[in-house]
Amino acid sequence: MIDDTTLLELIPEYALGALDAEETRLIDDLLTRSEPARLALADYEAMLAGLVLLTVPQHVAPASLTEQFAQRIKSESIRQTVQTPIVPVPKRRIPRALLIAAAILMIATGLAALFNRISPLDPIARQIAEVLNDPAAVGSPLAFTLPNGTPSGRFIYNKATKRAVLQMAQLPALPPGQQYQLWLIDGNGAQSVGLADGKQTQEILVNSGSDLNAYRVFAITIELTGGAPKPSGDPIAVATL
Amino acid sequence: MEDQALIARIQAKDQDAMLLLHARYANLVYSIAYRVLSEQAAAEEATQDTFMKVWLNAASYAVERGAVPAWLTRIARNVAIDRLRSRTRQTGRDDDSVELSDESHALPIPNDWQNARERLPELRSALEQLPPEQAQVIALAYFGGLSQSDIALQLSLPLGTVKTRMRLGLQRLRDAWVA
Repeated sequence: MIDDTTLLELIPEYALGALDAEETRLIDDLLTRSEPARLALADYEAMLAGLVLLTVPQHVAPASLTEQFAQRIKSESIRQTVQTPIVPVPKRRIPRALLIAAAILMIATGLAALFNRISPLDPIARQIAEVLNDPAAVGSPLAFTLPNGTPSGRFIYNKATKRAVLQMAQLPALPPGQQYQLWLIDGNGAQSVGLADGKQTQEILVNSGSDLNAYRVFAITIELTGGAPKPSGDPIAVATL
Repeated sequence: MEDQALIARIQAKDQDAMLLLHARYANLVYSIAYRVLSEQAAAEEATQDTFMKVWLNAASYAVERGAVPAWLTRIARNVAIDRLRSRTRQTGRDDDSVELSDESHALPIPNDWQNARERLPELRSALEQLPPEQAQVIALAYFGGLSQSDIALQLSLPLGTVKTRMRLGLQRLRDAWVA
């Protein structure tokens, strides 16, 4: 029988995920009844999160993930509404020897893989990440009017920093000679803020160059390649700011 | 909107708040999943599973348990490790070290995590001075999902040696974090 004081000393290894199953179960139990244990765990988890920030190279998540996730939580909400019973799936237990053998294989591959898999962030990607990480940023879903396909998108912006990112998924490819053009619209007209092509997924940095507070609507139109000075037709997508 | 306010809205099942959290932290979660799984498709699935856990279990988040990025990091790491353990075939990875990332590739410090901004320089310094054998056992556990016993077997070391190295390494890093 291990006393609580001894268990408390194992919190660092528990936070790291390094304890055996029985020790983990004992700490799980301790956490349900010990506030000092919970606080110690929070402390080590924060430190490990800091370690992650320092050692894990940044990879940019595909832009489509957020839209896919939107569909998933909508489905989940519907599922919960109808209260479909959930049948638990039994967990498969992998033999420890197999796990260890696999880990040895991974180690043997060596550090070279570390350098091969780092995808450098260019300045645009970094600015996009900054907008998406901005706690003051807000998001507006795009409403599409295209008859074909199921495009989706969000306009994420911070009026104070005047920066915005357009996330789009499954925007149909256009015939040669045409491009999508992006607009910010206020009471006096539309300002072009960029061009886009039809792609499966994309994230576009939108620099208005002026105060976003002046604008009420973000819109996308189809124009001739290279863009137009003013929208030539109805927008195929709009977001209210 | 700050993280804590976002989580409060997610706890009230606000889907827009959830999507904003997703957009804000998708790169962090995806990067952790990629570090563990070394494969894009698996990392994408782990990312979505992580956020689904947040959506379904947001009520379990308590402010006193720490900053939202730290909470998300724990969930992301655990989801990725579960996925790693369920694999029957694995590709090469490099779990035997925790090394500082090149600054141009490093994860940005979340704007809303002031503590990290203040404490990371000390942690960076401690990590630079951490003996490689201590960094190795920490990395094998955290990014490789191995227990102390597994690590002892893998490295052909006595279990006590692994425990000592891990304890010393964690203590050094923790001392730097709270300094």
